[in-house]
Amino acid sequence: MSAFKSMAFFYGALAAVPIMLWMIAITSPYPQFHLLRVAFAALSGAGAILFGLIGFNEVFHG
Amino acid sequence: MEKKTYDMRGKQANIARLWRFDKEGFVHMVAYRALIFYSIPYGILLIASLFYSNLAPYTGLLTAIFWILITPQLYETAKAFSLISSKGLAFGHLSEGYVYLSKSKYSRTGTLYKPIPYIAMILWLAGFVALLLWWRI
Repeated sequence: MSAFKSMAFFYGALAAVPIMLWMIAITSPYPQFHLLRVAFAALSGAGAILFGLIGFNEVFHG
Repeated sequence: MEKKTYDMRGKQANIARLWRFDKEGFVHMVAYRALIFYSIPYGILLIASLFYSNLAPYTGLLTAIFWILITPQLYETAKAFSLISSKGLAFGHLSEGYVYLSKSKYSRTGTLYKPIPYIAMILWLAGFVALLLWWRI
């Protein structure tokens, strides 16, 4: 696995996606943060897909 | 070059191979393997729910499943951060001689870094409660 893929995998998904989902959860009672939640949801979805693709490649193809 | 699918611990396909001597690693590995399959459709559905409002009610349950599966990864990431930042004094299986020298010669301690994974888990659990009570995008 290349160094770039490792960094993108670990820092981009392992930390960023949970943090963004956590931010969505704790700002859920506040309607004024709706746009922020939409942005975080879009980025989290993309990060989750990236995590799955790189993780699948890493486990099964090394 | 094809990835080798076995090592001294046994075959990679044997998901129970870590259970006997590394239960924490076993939980981490099982959750990780489930997550790499689950996260792709979850990510697609999460993005789709931003465009199709009839998917929105399902994002809470799907996120709760993702939340549970990524918990061991988050814990291990925080633990790795503590390990690296403390130069092995937090969560490192170091020899007593090295620990003694590290503390006496370099005045290093792992005290500040040891709580980090547990603080991360407390905040993560609080977020999970918030998800169950209030989740909406």
